[in-house]
Amino acid sequence: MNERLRRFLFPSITPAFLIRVVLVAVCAYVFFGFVCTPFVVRGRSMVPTYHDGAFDFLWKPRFLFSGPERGDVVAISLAGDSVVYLKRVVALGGDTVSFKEGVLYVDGKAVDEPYVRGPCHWNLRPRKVEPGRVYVVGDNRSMPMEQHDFGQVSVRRIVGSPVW
Amino acid sequence: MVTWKRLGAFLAVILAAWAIYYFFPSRTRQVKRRFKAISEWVDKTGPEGNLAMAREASEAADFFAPQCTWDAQSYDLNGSFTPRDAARYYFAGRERFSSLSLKFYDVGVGFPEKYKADVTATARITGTTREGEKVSETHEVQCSLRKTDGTWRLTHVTVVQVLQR
Repeated sequence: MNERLRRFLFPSITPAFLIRVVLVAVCAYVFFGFVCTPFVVRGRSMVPTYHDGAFDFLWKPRFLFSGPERGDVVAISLAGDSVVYLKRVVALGGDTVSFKEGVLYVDGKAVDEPYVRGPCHWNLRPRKVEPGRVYVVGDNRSMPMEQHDFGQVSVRRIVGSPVW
Repeated sequence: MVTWKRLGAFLAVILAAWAIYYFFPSRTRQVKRRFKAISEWVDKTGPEGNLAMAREASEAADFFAPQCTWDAQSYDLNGSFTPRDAARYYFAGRERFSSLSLKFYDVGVGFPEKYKADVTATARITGTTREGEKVSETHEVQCSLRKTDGTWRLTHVTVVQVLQR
């Protein structure tokens, strides 16, 4: 084994080495604990974009300086951010949302949603999104509307978006 | 010899700290333990006999105050319920599911009064019905508990509607 490889695999435990290890550990803890946290998707409400069991990272600074836009996939916190809802923003504050035979209408205009696959027959009477809130829906519209969690939510509950 | 004595003293201190932590929990830990106990109470991993179910259902009085108010619009559960009502729901729920799990996350505890606790948590229920249908629901819950006879019991439960249609 050449000397450099040996030193890399079996480094001498020196104070400098220990400082490096601690620094890397602290940076990793901060980065993966508070900035870019790993998560696993549970449930089918975002199929086919995100499947049950998929692994991803939540990028928390995503909406630090700008609010979410229509079409963004966002993570919505509940009591904390250990468990979050993953949904797509379809309308912003002040918009009027409705569904007619599975087609999403925002302010009376049909919205093209290429991320939605499969049959959808949802019907929902028009409702106005309050200021400071956004309207979020999952991509899986094949499931019955009654079993799908969707609706308007405060922008303050949005804690980031998936990296991919 | 001195080294062994120091090591022994160090271990004794660790053991004492652990004993204090375990046997004299803070109020926050006492409340969190109640939520863990509720999780264990609800968990069902396989078939259960009616007798076992009835025995477990009778433990409802350990978790719920004589009058516990519920505000859970998504489940049509509104009003005041006794532990007996809770036991009835518990029994009916377990009859419907072949497996059931309730987990609490992000449990935050506050104490507005000495014997009153306000808790916010994320509750995640997963299970499989007897027909094989998988169920998975996640909700934010806000609960109030009161300590009576040395036990923290639920006096109020609200299921927060995070997403409003």
